[in-house]
Amino acid sequence: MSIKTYAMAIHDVMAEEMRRDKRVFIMGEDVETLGGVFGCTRDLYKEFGTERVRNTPISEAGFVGAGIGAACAGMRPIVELMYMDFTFVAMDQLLNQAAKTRYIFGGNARIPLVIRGQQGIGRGNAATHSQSVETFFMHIPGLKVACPSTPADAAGLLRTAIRDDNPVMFFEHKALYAGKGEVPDDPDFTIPFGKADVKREGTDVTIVANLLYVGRALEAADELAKEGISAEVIDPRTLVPLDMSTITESVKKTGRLVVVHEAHRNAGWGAEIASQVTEEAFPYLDAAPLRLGTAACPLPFNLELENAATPQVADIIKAAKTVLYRE
Amino acid sequence: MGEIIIMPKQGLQMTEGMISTWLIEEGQPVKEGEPLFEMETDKLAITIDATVSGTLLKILAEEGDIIPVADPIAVIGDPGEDYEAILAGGGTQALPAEAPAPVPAAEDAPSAAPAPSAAPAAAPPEAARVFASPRAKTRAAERGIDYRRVPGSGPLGMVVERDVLNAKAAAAEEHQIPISGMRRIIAQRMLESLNTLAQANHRLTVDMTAAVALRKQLQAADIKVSYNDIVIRCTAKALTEFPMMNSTMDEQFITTKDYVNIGMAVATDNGLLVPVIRNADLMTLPEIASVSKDLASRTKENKLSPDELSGGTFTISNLGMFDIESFTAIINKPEAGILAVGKMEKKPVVQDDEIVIRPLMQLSLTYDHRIVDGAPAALFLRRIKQLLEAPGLLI
Amino acid sequence: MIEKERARRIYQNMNRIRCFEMKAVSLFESNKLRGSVHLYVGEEAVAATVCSHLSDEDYIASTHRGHGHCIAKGATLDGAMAELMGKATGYCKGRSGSMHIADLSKGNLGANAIVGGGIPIATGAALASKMQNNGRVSVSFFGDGASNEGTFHESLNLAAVWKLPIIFVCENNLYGISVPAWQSTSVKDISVRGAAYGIPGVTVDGNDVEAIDEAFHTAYERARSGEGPTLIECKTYRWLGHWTGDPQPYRTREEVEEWKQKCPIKRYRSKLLEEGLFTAEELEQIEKSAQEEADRAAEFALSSPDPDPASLLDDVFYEGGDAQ
Repeated sequence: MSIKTYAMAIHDVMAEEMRRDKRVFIMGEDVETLGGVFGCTRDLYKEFGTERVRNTPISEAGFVGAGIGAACAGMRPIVELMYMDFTFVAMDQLLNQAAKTRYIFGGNARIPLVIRGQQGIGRGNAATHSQSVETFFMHIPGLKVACPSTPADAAGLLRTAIRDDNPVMFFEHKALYAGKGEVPDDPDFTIPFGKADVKREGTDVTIVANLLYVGRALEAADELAKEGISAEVIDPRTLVPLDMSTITESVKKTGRLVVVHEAHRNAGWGAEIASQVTEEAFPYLDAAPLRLGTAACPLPFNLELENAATPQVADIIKAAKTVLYRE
Repeated sequence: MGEIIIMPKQGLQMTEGMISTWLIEEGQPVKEGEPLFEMETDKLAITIDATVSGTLLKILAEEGDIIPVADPIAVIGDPGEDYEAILAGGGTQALPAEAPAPVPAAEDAPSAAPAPSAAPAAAPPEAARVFASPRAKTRAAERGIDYRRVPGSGPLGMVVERDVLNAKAAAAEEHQIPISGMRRIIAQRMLESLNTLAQANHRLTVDMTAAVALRKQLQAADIKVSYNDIVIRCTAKALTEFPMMNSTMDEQFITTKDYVNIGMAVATDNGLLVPVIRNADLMTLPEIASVSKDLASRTKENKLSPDELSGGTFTISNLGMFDIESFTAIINKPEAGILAVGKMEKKPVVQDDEIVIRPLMQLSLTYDHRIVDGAPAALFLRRIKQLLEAPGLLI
Repeated sequence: MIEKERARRIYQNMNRIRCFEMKAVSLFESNKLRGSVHLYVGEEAVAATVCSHLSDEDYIASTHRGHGHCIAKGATLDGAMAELMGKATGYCKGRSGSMHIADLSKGNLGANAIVGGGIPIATGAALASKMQNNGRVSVSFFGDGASNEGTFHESLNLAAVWKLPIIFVCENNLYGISVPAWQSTSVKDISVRGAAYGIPGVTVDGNDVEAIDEAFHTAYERARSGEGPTLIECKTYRWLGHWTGDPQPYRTREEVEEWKQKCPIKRYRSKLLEEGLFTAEELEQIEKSAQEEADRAAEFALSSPDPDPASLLDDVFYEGGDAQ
């Protein structure tokens, strides 16, 4: 085990995988000498050269598409998007091309492509640079979607993503990069996709959260414990594939579900989970599942407004009490 | 405008009351004279009408709260008016201490129906439909509980898991009854009596031969009296002779009373009530018979005024009609004693070395040993026996 | 002059494409073929000539009008027709149809029903070839309409700065569905857009095999030698509507007739006879066998089974590990 930041865990896994497999390479904006705006590719060009740690033009549709073509032609590209908000610039390549290619080729293609980058609030980047957009990629079949909340999860999931022969959307969170945690040193440490992680066990209410909100949910659980409420906190870790059984079994135990994410609340992935739980575990529910997410407005710049738009720890506590009919 | 609604005093003895049901929801308009809420005291359930028209801006006392007399319980004002400003003082007019039109429950307006003491606080709008969470239904099925019989604590009175878990495991054979205001008050008072008084008990048997004869004589004259009336009359007289048994005690004083007000315990469907026969020591036996009959029937019809339920100095409880031979009663605080009267029965008795048949009746006196010692209490009880065995002494 | 064997292949493929497309029209008209079918009739010289330079290892990315590219790149008419009819025996197991037909085993990165959608993908394949240093080239086919898409410009720039082995082949058939190129496109010759990215741009007669061949040969050598991409514009014409049933109010019958006179197959046939490379009998034999192959392909497709609905969710993802 080593103590690493979330960013360094990502950096190291990419380096290790490039050493292990010559087909793996990185391309994106400012990934070379700058090492990426968030430092995830720092100095990698020194070891791997500028062919394999390749600066791109500001041309998201172009280089995302090039990633698909290169993947079809035997490479294993890691495409870094500076902000995952920029996926929208390349949406056709992601949703019409990458997601569908294998299927419409009748299974005669593999697309070992990782699209990774950070998203979310925390740095005052406002409307087009603070969004949480993972839900979009869960809706269109053909993309895997991973969202690590800890350095270890980032390492294990990213290695799985790089070794996967399918296109993987890998969502990091800018406010998590500096956070530290233990990461296994094993160069083959992977975390399988489709396996949710119970971050805290509990019996009274199930709280499902990802990315930044895993930490906030755990904070809420600490507060709830002081009032005698035992909250179970689950991080699905990947939305595609989605480990519904861990979540459903938890709700069967607790009878109550709160889903909290930074993605917008309306039609966010929490709605999908709430709906599936309702379908699968209806007789076990003691209250309607609650969703918390960002308000139905573009993310505002002002910090107080940003806080007002996004769920706070107190909101999670309140939601947990609501489904428990406390207060 | 803005008017603060207070807990209205209902009867001289009332010190507090419990809100049982608000009949107007917060934020809703209310008209003067329209029933506003139902309340209970230890003595009665009553519907209180609004004394002013306006909007019920704020309910300060929730259902189930016990509020001292004259404390604020709600605010009526203009729609949108700030109730806090009204409460804060300024131009508010408090209700007169005595509510202008307290309507004894069930007395007139049928709309102001007597508050059923078991009125659920948040009954579902349709009695037929019971909301329950899926989990509550699952849990109820697992335990063989009919979830429709479980009181719900969720939104709209929905039965949620905890309600089912709190229901007794063998709920198939048990039922949960919400505790009414009257039951709660009786429970409190009984417990308080046992916890705070030094209750001791004496028993003896009375030969009722003479009393039976007396009753027959009166009957022949078309005057109907019960044995209980005779007991009341004899006890009233004995109390005039034993003032310590006709007293109350507080931290500083023992207060003896020159009047004798006998409370008589009456069982009703909703619980025990004790109407009071005032100045029983000054009444003739027929007078006592007449008053006790009237009080008993009006008690059962819930038609007593609050004052008729207060002011007693000593209580008599008779369970003879239920074949009870003897029992220990609990003192009705703040009185000093209570007499428990058993069934009168013919029994063989040894008299002058011969076995004869006599109508016998057991008396059981519970007294507060803080006020009265064992010997004087025994003398008091024996005095009642003497009077019952020789009612001529009453004259 | 094109060497004999390659000339035969070009002539064969032009005829195979023509016969395949006409067979598809007749199947569509007899209601045996569903969906959108965009036909390549009149443009055969481009695909046949360009692909005559390519091996199975080289890549192409195609368009919604992609049957010609697919066939010229090595597809059998059987598998192609079965795919057009959505049959389990089609190249894509009936999942793709006309607009998405692909055969990666022959280096075909697929028809692409999003205009401009395939251009970055072909560019990425060229990037892979460059990084793998395997000598393969990529060809991106697209139409005049796609040259107004962002992906066209982004890909030209990307390929230029990275000097990728790719040739951008624009088939300018003068219309984007109904909109004439002069109305939608700022330049008369799309090839001039190459200059914006510092790469050669050349416009050729897209119905002239030898003109295409010459331009492509130069571009191909440039790509192979690591000098980077070339933009070739082939001016051509689609004879049929944008889709089967297109009433074509945007052009005159006379205009269509005029272009039919410029038929690339007839034109190359004359050329081959003129050069004495083949006898008329030899060419008739090629034409006859192309027709027979198309007829057999229709028979094959018609008698092929539909895909099993139980296979619906297969191949959304590759389920194995990293074993590519």
